[in-house]
Amino acid sequence: MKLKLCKYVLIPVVATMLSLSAVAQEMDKVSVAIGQRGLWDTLVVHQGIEEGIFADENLSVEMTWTKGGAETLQAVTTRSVDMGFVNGMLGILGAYQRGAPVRIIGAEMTGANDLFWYAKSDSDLKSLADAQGATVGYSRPGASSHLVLLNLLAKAGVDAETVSAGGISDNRTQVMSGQLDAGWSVPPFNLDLVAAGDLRIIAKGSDLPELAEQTVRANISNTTFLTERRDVAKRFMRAYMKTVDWMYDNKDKAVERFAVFNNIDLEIAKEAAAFYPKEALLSVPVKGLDKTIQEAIEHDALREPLSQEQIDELLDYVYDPR
Amino acid sequence: MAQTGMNPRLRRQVLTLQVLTPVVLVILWELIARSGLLYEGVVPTILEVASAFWNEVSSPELYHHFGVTLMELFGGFTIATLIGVVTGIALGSRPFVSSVADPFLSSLATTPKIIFLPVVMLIFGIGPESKVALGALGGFFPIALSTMSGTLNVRPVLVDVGKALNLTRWQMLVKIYLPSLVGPIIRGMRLGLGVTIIAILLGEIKLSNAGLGFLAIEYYNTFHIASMYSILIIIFLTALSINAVMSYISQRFDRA
Amino acid sequence: MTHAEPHQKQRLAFVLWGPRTAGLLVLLFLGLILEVLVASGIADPSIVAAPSEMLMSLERLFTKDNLGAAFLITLAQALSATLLAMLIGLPLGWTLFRYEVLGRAYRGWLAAMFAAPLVLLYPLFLVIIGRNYGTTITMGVITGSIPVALYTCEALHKVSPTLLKVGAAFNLTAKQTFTLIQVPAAVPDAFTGIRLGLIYALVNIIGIEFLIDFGGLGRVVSTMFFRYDIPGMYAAIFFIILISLLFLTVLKKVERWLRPV
Repeated sequence: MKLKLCKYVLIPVVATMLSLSAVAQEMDKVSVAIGQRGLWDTLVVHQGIEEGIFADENLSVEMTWTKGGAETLQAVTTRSVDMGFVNGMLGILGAYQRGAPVRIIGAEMTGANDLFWYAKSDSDLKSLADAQGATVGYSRPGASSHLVLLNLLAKAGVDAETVSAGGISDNRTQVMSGQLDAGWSVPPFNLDLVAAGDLRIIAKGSDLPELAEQTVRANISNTTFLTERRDVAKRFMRAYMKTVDWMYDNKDKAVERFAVFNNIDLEIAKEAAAFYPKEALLSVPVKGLDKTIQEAIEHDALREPLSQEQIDELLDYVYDPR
Repeated sequence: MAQTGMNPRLRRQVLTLQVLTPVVLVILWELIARSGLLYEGVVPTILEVASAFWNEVSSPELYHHFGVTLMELFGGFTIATLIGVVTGIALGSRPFVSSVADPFLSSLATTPKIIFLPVVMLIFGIGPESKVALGALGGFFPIALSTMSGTLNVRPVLVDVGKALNLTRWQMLVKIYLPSLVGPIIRGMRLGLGVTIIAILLGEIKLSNAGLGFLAIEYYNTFHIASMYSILIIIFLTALSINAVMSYISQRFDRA
Repeated sequence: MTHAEPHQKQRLAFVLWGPRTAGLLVLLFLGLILEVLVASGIADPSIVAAPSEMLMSLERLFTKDNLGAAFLITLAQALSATLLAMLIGLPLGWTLFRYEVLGRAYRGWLAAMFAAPLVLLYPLFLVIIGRNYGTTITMGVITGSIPVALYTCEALHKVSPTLLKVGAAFNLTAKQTFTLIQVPAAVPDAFTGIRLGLIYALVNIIGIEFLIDFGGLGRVVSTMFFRYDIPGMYAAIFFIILISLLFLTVLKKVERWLRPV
C-alpha cells in the first residue's frame, strides 16, 4: 500500500513540483521602471503581465513605478533597472549627449492624444480661442505638456500666459480655486469632473494632427543590458508589442482591467481609453526626431544637434516586426 | 511639560486648557470645512477624515508601507549613529582637526538633505537603499557634531588619569571617552533621529513605491485628500511617539 | 612691547587662520582627487561630476539658468517667512512667559512640535493655498515661529533675578522693568531663537522648492536633475551648501556681538 502511494502519488507530485520550480527558475528576470502610474499607455506592461504574455516569452517582470521621466531615466542609466518606460524625448536626448549609457528601444507615445486642457464649466473659456490673456497651466518647462500647449496656442492664435503649474493634482486645485484659468491633464484624471459638469475640456493634444508624426515619449534601456542580455530585451519588446495588439483586439477586457487598477467607473475608463488610438502606442518607428532635436536645442536640453551617427547609435530597436 | 511645582488651582486651569484646545481646533476645522470658503475637498470634514483614518488602519496595505518606512528608519538611523559616533570621536580627539572640520559639518548640517536625493539615487538606485542612505546622511551630522563637541569637552583630568595609567588607545576609548560621551551621544541621537525621519519621509515622497511618505503623496496626486490627511496624522503620531521614547531615553541616560 | 607679544600675535594668527587655511587645502585636495578619479574613468561621470565641470556649470547656471535670481527668490522667501515668524513668535513667546497658565499648558506642546516633521504638512498647504510662494512662505513661517516663541519665552525666564531686584529698588514700573531690564537681558537668547527660525525657514523653503519644483534654489536643483545635467546639479547643490555656510557665519557673528562679554 505504502509502495503504491509512493509510486502513483508522491513521486509524480514531487516530480511535477520540481519541474515547475525548474521552469520558474528558467524564466528571465527583467526589472523595469515606469513613469506615471495608472494611465492607459503606462499600463501596457501591467496588462501584459496579467494576461501572461510576458510569461509566454519566459520573462518574469519586476515593475517599479516612478513619478516621471527624470527618475525613470536615472534608474536606467545607473542600472538600478534594466529598462525604463515613458520617458520624455528631450530628457533622453540630453542624457545621451551628456554621455549617459542609454538607448531608445522603441517609441512609447507618438502624438499628443493623451493631453487635454480644461477650465471650470462656469468660466468664459470654451476653447483656447477664448484664452487671450488667460493663465493656462503646463507641468514644467521642456515637458511635453509645455511644448504641446505652445503649439496649441500658436494654432489658436492667442497670447495666453503659460504657467508652470506642476502636476495634474496641482493644476486641478489651482483651477478649482481660481488661481489658474485652465489646467492640463491626462485621462482618466479629471474626467469624473468633466462628466459631472464641473469642468469643460477646452483643448486636446489631438487638435494638432501634425503632432501625430512626432514621438513625444520613448522607452529606453541601458547599454549594459542591451549588450549582455540582448535576447531578453528582444523578447521583452516582442511581448510589449503583442500586449499593445492584445489591448486593442480585446478592448473591453483591457478597459475593465484599466478601470479596476485605477478604481474608477467603467464608463470613465472607456472614455479615457478612447483618447488613445492604437497608432499612438506603436513602438516602431520613433517619428519626427528632427523636430524633437530642434525643440531640445530651443529648451536647452541639447547643446547642439545630434549627428546622423549619433542618431543611429541612439536608436536601437531590439525588436522590429516591420 | 512636567506639571510639577503647581498649585492645584493652576494645575486644573492648565489641564482645562489642554483639553479644550484640541476641541476648539476641531470645531474651527469643521467650520472651515463646511463654510464653502475653500474649494470643496481640500479641507474635508472631521467625519470624512476619521472615516478615511479608519479605512487606513483597517487595511493591511497600510502596515506594509508602515513596515517599509520603519525598516528604512532603522537602517538609516543605525548607520548614522555608528558612523556619526566614530567620526565625532575621531575628530574631537584632535582639537585642530575638529576646528577644521566644524565649519564643513555645520554648514552641511543646515543644508536641506532632500536636495541630495538625486546624488543618493545616482549612487544607490531607486529602491529603499536610497532612502536608507538619505536618512543616514540626515542623521549623521547632528550625531557627529554632538559627539565631537562632547569629545572636545571630556574632562582633561580623566584623560590625564588614563595616560598616567598607561592605558592603550582602545582602553582610553572604552574606559575614559565613551562613558563621558553617553550624554552628548544621546543628545545627538535625539536630534539626529528627527532629521532622519524627515529625510526618509521626504525621500519617499519624491521617489518611492512604498512607505508612508509615498502613500501620502499618492493620495495627493489622485486627489484622495481625506486619505492624505489620515496618513499625515499617522505619520505625526508615529514621529511624536518615537520622539517621546527618545526623550525618555535621553532623560534617563543623559547625565550631563 | 614685550618679547612675548610677537609670539602671542603669531599664535593668535595661527588659531584664527590655521583651521580655515587647512580647511581650504583639504577641500582643494579632495577636489583634486575627485578630478583624477573622474578623468581616469574610475568614478562614473554619469554619477559623479568632476569639480572642473561643476565650476564651469556654475558659470552657466548664473548666465543661462538665472541662479542669481533663484538665490534672491529663496532669500526673499526666507526673510519674509522669518519676519512673519518673528511677528508671531515674539509676542507668543512673551505671552507664554507673562501668563504662567498658558506657558505651562503650551510650552511642552510647542517643544513637541519643534521636534515633529512639520515640513510634511506641505501637501496640505499645496491643496489649500496652491502651488505658489504662499505655500513655501507659510511652511517657513510655521517652522520658524516655533523656535522664536520657545527661545523668547526661555530668554525672558532666564533674566537674572538680581537685575529685577535692582529695578525694583529703583521703583521701576512694570513697563519700565520690561523695556529697560527684561528685553535687553533677553535679547541674546531670543536672538538664538531668531537665528534658528531663519535657518529652519531657509532649509524648509529650499527643500519644498525642490519637492514641488517651484521657486528658487531648490527648483534649480530639481531642473538640473530633470535635464540630466549632472555637473549642473552638483554645482547647484554646492552653491546651496555655500549659502548655508555664509548664513551660518553671518548669524554666528551677529549672535556673538549681541552676547555680553
